[in-house]
Amino acid sequence: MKKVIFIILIFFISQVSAQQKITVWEKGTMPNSKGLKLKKIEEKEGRITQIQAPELFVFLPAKEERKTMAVIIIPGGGYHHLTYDLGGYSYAKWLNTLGISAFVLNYRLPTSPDLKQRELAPLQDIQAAVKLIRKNAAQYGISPNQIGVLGTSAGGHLAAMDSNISTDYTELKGDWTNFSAVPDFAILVSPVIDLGEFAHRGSRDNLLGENASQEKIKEYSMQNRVTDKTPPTILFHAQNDPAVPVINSVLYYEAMIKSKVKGALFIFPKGEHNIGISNKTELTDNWKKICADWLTQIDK
Amino acid sequence: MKKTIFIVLIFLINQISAQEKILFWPKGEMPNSKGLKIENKDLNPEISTQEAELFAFLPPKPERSQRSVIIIPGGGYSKLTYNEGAFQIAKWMNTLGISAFVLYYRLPTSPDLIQREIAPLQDAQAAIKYIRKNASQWGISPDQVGVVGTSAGGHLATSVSNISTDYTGLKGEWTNISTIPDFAVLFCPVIDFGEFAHVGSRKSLLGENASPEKRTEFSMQNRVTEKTPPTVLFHNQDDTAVPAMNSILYFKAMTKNKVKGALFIFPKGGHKFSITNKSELSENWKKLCSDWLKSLDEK
Repeated sequence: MKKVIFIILIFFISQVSAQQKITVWEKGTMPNSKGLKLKKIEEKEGRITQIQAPELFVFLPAKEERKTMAVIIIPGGGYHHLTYDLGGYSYAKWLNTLGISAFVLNYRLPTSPDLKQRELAPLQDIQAAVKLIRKNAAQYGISPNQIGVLGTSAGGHLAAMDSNISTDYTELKGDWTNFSAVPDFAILVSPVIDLGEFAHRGSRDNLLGENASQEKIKEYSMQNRVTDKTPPTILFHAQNDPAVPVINSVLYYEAMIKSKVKGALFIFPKGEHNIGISNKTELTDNWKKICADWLTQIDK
Repeated sequence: MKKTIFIVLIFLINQISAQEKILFWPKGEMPNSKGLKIENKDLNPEISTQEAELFAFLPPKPERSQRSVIIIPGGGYSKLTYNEGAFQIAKWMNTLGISAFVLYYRLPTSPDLIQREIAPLQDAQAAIKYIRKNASQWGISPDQVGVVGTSAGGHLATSVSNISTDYTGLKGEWTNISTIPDFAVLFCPVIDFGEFAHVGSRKSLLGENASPEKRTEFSMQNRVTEKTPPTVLFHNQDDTAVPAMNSILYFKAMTKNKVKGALFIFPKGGHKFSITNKSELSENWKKLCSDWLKSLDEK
């Protein structure tokens, strides 16, 4: 009987810690909203196409194994949907096995009818999320100075935006202004970087609208935004990615080198647009070991 | 006593298989030579001049795969850093069952040469032909012969990967044997002779005042075609001798030409990849390299 209770308790606790959901914006502080009431739409399993407000899903390693590092995971989906499970939860669980706390961010999509200015909403949400985690770091037993971002595909674009755009678009006041919205490091997996020649068209059209000006495209092509203040970044891409050409990562890394930003670039022959937690080829599967070792190294 | 003999025997065999020296140019057929007598000058652990030769490192027969590599040492085209850069990699290749042949090529600074910049290429081309011609003797395949190049050796490895003109001048049964390797592995390679050049390598290979045309011609990112063999590149971001941009330029040209391959740039490690590494992150290059070599068998 005792054992059963214990098991139920364990189950309950793990449910709580695996599913704890926190809202990013305190009541009434979310900017860039017309105040519409939107339903959450999950088009199919693991694919959210509409949310009212962003949310964070908290994944914490067992206290005994928890390090002070944390990562906010930004799912991809071409700025049209959120692959929160494959591109979110899955990475969060893996990071937990390294002792790293993880927070999966479901951000407002630029296609939402509730927005006043479409291209700013995802950035506002990630900026607020970084601030929130830093503000509450002690509560999770993590350090406010070891908060990274991990973005896949269009989530990589958002991670790069958060890394490079120093203007704070959150409009948060008071003690919120003490917290930087720029992460301490970034992990980019098959990221969308360029919105020009090598663009993933869907991501660009969803973020900037159908007929974005050349200036806008240049402004939102993240290789043009790298400075010596860009945080250390590691990039992973597959040469045979049919959705987001590998040159996206190369352009970003070249800009990093030019600006003396520390980092690394790993391009595998295969993996397509599916570099993930389980991979078809042994060679590509090495990315996790490399990423873990890189995280250990920047920890020093 | 028996044991002692056994150990001596093992030692002897090791010596033989680790040191087998091959003069790969058929007698009297080495081109581009004035016929000067040149002694090997060994400025330990590097040598500055030498004759062209191969050193064979063979895995034990039961562990030997069909694959082999010719290892091309670096040294800025003014010396050969064979010990760390080449012999160590050869031994590591043997642990994967891969036969390795370390190439001593004539340096473009040699006074014996008639035309300086093609001597290393001639030697690499002849070495590949020699290995292919004699493949069955070692139980390896003539169609799985790769090149491994470090630093300036990477420049020579990419030269032999991309220059289809046969400069060996070898005749008869030699003519039908291709000089293009089946794959290439590059460590901190010298690629560009323009903006990102390792100036020492360029000056040694092309002379002090090479024309812009010559620099463009010998910048290997400009020579990549869809016929370039599959290539994996390793570089460190903090390499101050040969900037990582060299590997990036080559990989971009590969991608443009649909050449299959991989690019791995580590944050730290300087101008080398060693068999024993200081950091756990750098240590991963070996696993990446061996998995990449295995992946060549996949269709």
